[in-house]
Parts: sequence; C-alpha cells; structure tokens
Amino acid sequence: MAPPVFALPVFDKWLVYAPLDRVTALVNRAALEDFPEELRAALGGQAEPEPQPRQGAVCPQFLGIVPTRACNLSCAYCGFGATRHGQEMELRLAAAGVDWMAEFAARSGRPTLDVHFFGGEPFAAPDVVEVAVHRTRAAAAARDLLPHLEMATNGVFNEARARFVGDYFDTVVLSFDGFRAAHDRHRSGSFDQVAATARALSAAPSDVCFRVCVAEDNVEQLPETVDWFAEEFRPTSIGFETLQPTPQSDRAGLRAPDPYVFAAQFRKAARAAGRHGIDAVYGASVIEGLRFSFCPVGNDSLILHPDGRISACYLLERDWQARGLDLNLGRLGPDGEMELPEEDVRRVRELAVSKPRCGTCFCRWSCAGGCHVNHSYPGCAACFDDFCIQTRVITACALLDGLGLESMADGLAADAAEMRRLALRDSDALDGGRRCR
Amino acid sequence: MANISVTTACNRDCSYCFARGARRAAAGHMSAETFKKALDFLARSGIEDARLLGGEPTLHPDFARLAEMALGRGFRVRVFSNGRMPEAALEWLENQPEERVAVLINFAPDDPPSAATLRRLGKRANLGLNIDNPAVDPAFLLGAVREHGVVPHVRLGLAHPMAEGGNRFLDPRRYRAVGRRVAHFFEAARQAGVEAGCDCGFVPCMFPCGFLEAMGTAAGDIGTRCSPVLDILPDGQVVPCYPLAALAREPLPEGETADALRGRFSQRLSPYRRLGVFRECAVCEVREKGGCNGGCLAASMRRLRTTPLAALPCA
Amino acid sequence: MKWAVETRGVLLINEATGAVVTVEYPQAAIWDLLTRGESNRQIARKLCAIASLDPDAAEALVRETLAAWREAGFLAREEDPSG
Repeated sequence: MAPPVFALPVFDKWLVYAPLDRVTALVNRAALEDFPEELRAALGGQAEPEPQPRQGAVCPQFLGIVPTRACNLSCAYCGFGATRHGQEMELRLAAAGVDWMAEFAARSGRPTLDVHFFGGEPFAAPDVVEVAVHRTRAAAAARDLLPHLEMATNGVFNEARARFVGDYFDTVVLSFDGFRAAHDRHRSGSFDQVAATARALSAAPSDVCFRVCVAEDNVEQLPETVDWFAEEFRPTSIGFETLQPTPQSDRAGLRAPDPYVFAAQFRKAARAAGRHGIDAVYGASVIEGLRFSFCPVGNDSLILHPDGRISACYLLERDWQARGLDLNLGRLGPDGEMELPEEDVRRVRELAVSKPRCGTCFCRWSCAGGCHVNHSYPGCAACFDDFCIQTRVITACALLDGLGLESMADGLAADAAEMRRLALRDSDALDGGRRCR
Repeated sequence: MANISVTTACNRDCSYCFARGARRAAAGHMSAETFKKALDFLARSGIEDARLLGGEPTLHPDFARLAEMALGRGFRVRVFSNGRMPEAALEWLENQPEERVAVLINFAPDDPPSAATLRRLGKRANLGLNIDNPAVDPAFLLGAVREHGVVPHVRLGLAHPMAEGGNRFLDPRRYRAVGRRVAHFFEAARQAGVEAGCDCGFVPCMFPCGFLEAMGTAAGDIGTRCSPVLDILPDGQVVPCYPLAALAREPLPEGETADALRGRFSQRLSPYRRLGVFRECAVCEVREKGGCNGGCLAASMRRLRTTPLAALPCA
Repeated sequence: MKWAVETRGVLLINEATGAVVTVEYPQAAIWDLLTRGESNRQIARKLCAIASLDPDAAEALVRETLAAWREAGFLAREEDPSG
C-alpha cells in the first residue's frame, strides 16, 4: 500500500504532507486537482515504515516515580483530589525502582539512566525524592551511565530546595500559569513562591520548562506572558497545555479556551518566544520524528506508585477505570522483585492501537491521538474535538514554517474561517476517504 | 596576545558588556605614560600586535596619538570598536596602511555602524558579533561583508558572564541552540567565500555531530581557547580577562613578561579549572584527551555554591 | 569553601588553600544533606536507602566521613548539637 499523502487547504493553495516520505510542499489548486497521481508519484520514493506498536520485551525510556499523591496546593483545575498528606513511597522501594532501571539501562547498552518524578507534588515527600536522586546518581556512576533526572513540580518550596533542584536535576517542568491574577486564580495563590523558584531555577544549571495551563481567562495573554517570562526568568522552553475540564475546574468557573483562539494565541506566543531564543512547545504538534504514541501509554513507560504498583500512566487509576481501561503493568517489591507479566505489557500496548479520530488525519504520527485516557480512549467519539482542532491548526502552521512560509502561517492563524476550513475536514487524505463530521 | 583598554568611555550600553565591571572599577582614560608602559610590556613579551579596546577606544581624546605611538614602535595596531567613532579617529584610521592597522567592528544588528564608516575603513575593517541569545542569527554578517566591501572574515563571540554578575550573558543551557545556528553560518560563510572564526568559550559539544570534523583545521582552537588573555586596564592594572576581572588583578609589572604574569594568573585560577560549564564536563572524554578545557571559566564558576564553614552543623 | 555538583559526585574547592577534591558516592550524598542542614542522624537514615547500608554502618560512614573532612579542612571544628 502506498504511504499516505495528505492535503490541506491553505487559502488558495494546498499544503501537501507525506510524513513517511518526510516531504512537505505547497502546491496550487490545479496541481492537486488535475494531477493527484502525478503529485503522489513525485512525492514518493524513500518512505519510512509506518510507526508501529512496540513489540518484544518491555523497553522503557525512563522510570517514573510518584513519591506521593499528596500535594501542598489545591489547584482550581486539579482532578487529582490531592490532600496535604498521603501515602509516601518507602525509601527502600524508591531505591529498588532506581536499581531496576539502572540494571535495565546498563544491560540495554543505554548511555543514560533516566528517572522522572511526578505527583501530586513530588516534594510533598522530600525524603523519597532526595534518596531517589542520590541513588540514581550513585547507580549511574557505578555502571558508567550518565544520570538524567527530570521533575514536574509546582515550585512551592524554599530557596534551599530550589537550589537542590537546580543543581541536581537536568530538566525541571515548573507549573507557572502566567501573570499573577491568572496564576493565583488557577493555582491556590502561589504566584510569589513560584516566581521566586522560577528565578532561582533560571540561574541554575538545569533546563527549566515553564508549563502553562491555558484556560479562557489567560489565553489572550499568551504572547505577553512569553515576553515577560523571557525577560524576567529566561526559561529554556515554555510548554502550553489547554485546560482539561474537571468537576473542580467547573466549580471554579474555569473553562477551556476556544481552540481557534488558542491556536491563534499560541502562534503569536511562539513567535514571541522565538525572538527571545526560547522554544514554545505544544506537545501534540511536535513534527520532528514520527511516533506511534504521544503519551506514556504505548511507549512502555513504567510509572512506580507509592504502593509498589507499576502502571503505564501517571494519571489516577480511577480516571483510567472510568474509561474502562486497566493500565497496570505489574508490581515492584521493596526487596527489588519486579513483576511485569508479558501479557499485561502486551495488553496495555494494544490499548494504544485504537485511535478512532486519527484514521485520515495528517497529525496521526505527530499527535498520534494524544492522551489515551482523556482523548483517544475506547468508545470516544470519532469526530474531531477541540484538542484535535487546535492541534491540526498548530501543526499545519509548523509545516508551513518548515517551508519558510512563516507569514502564511501567521495569516492562517489570524483567519478564523481559514482555520475552520482546514480543521474541520472529512478527510485529509489526498485520495479522499470518509470519516464522520 | 594582550589587550590594552585605553578608556572606559563608551557610547553604547550593551546589556551583555562583560567589561562593565572593569569599566566601573577603573574609570577614565589611560594616560600616555601608562600606555607607554603597556607598550614596553608588549615589546619585552614579544607581542607584535597592540590590541586597543575600551569601552570604545576611539573615544579616547588622544586616540590617534596613542595609536601612532604604537605604530611608531613597530606594532601592528588592532582596534576593537563598535563602529560609532568620532570623525577624527575615523579620519586617522582610514589613512593608515591596511597591513598595519585593522579595525574589528563589533556589529550590533539593531544599531549597525554607518555604511559610510565601513566604506571609509574598507579592507581595514573586519566584522564581529557577540551572541547573547540563541535567536541571534549571524547570517546578516555575510550580507554586510558583501555590501560594504570589508575584509571577508567574521569573528563570532559568546557573551560571557562577569564573575561578579551584572551583565546579560549566553547561558550554557542555550549553547546547543547557538551551536546549531553557528554550524549553519559556517557553511553559509564558506559558500560565500567568507572566513569565519570563533572567539573564546565555544565548546565542541555545543555543535551538531560531525561539524568539527567537517571543519577540520578551520575549527581552529574551539574548546581550548580559554586562558588568561591579559587585559591591561586604563589605570595600569592587569586582569586575566574582562569576565574574571573581579577575581585577580596586578599592576603592570616592571621588567616581567606576559608569560610570567599569565603563569601567576593561571596558578591563581587553577583550582577552578576542574569545573567546566556543564556537570558532565567532569566525565567528558574530549576534555580528558585535551580537546576541550571546559569552556569559559567565568561561566563555569556560576555553578559554584558557597557554604561557609561556620554554617555547617556537624563537626 | 566552594563546591559544585558534578556528574559523578561533588567537586569541593578550598579557596584558602587551593585544595580541590572530588567527592564520589556515597559520600557525595552526605555532603549534599549536610550543606542543606540535616543532622548526622537524618543523614545516616537516608544513607541506609541511598547506599544499601544497615543503620550502624550508615552512622559509622557519616562519622568517618565528617572526621575526614574536618581533617582536610572542609569542615569547621564545632560540636553537632542535634546528634
């Protein structure tokens, strides 16, 4: 079967994209409508194989550690239901997890030992974090690996802890929702503390990514937010995620932004970031490299929970179960005994295969269906939702940028009608194909 | 090599200026007597170039006289300028032989030197750029070389931090992003027949895989070019380099050569040489084989933490 | 005293004497916890998990390491009030 070629309308032209051939082109209407087969033939040649689900033995890129689900904040949109106190991982269990990953990395010939921290707030269990950090570094040294430590944090801690994070971590993802009013409304009035942490981390050796949750109340401020972040804090990158509605966010009166408004504002924010030499990232639109799955599910991620469970996802178990999903992979004992039944690994891998909305979407190997719990879950609607719409527009702009057509991309993102025309199509396939609207 | 900072006066205020500390500490213009002593120092050290810096060196009220003094003693004169020079200085420069006098123009894309200035300097002018931000794209320099008929050689530098802080600098976390741009630029420069060179502080790991090998000898001393340059300040004090001015300084020595002074500065700074700009420098094979000395020492020292002995609880 | 985190441990620089030493694991963990104000007891407790030591061995390692650092001039000679 010929590798897929997609065509998207952009004003009076067509953006033609053959991801497996690594080809993007802008052609006029006549080229597309009168010579589709010739166009397809001209684009073809060196197609890569289509990304496939993983096979064989489990092969995690990193070990995820959830030291605790407790948190020192109660963010308005957080669906984790975190409390200030919660089960903490035993120190021996954290060490056992690190040791398993170190052995796996050494055995696999990897150069790095990658350990990532999630929560709740990881520093709600600071001893676990400290032990795991030093165990990782010691284990890496013993096996001639480079340690790579990454953390997602709310940044609400003192300067000494900020220095520890900045000195020992390679990448820090700091939740920072922008200017004071929006950040405090979203995140429990934590602006002053988070800004202080941001300043400390920006002067430290670690790469710092600010993670901005975008809602209706801060979407129009994205470009100014980027300018301010760049001048005040100098992060390495800024990642934007739109609000995932929860009962908590509904009660707080927070709403996800209109996808077209978000796409337009993200575009402006990305341009502002570029002027400062900072990367603006919308994770679902990363077009460098094709992937089968965007989220940890389908990528053999191993997330170690405080009770020793190992799962493929760092979201709450009750959230998967609400979608009829079981993402548990096994269990690790504090004595280091790992259970990862092959049938469970296989079962979870197969969960990432079904992507009802992605069949003829040009983003199928970049967005790859997004989150398998919140977006591409079994039984989800087959029609494009807001996440799909904003992803399609932003990805199309990225493709135009790759052709040196930044002005055209700017124009697309500024034209609501054109964005709709591109985003809401039955099929992107060059040779047609149907999908529901 | 050694630099003579003839004045702290400047008609720009670049946010990345790493001479700020030295400029604040030693205000004013260098006297003729101190300049003579500086030339004596260069001569007995076997240094053939009198490299004049600032601030903006052409703002020294006796700039031409000082430069003549250097020429008269057989030195080649290299002037490091922002291109915004008084008419008297420009007139003097444009009447000097190209083989004896060069002007290295630090080109600011948002405030470039006038086309007239560059035209008058002609083949005495080389262009350079200090990079303080990965968004800075040096490609515009090639057009400027072509348009103004200056020497087809450009110098790229990194904006380094002052050891005591206070200036905007290129954070080592952004080195790889800059390295990708510089690699593209070198290829574009080669195709345009322009030679490109890197100043101190560039490190091999910031460049895409294979770039340095492809460059061959054109890569020069990327990675190994951090050592005490010797910057002679207007008041006659000597520092290892501007970024490290707060850490070590001595008066211009009588009778000694640059090597002796460099040796003392190197000794003073040697404990910090183990650092490197990245945590990973300690295990880097390239560094172990002598291919890199860890990047800018001032940038490396930003990783240092201070814990007073008295503050430690256990004894 | 100045120090910096390196890939394999911690680099200590005594500016007064010019002495430079790399502290590797598990002692590098002791340095981190010490400089962030932890007591000997707290350090030993975490060291059990960091370095797979029993409590007595961890306490002994902390004691010996601190003594060595005092001797080398990296620590002041004061009593630890918190034990």
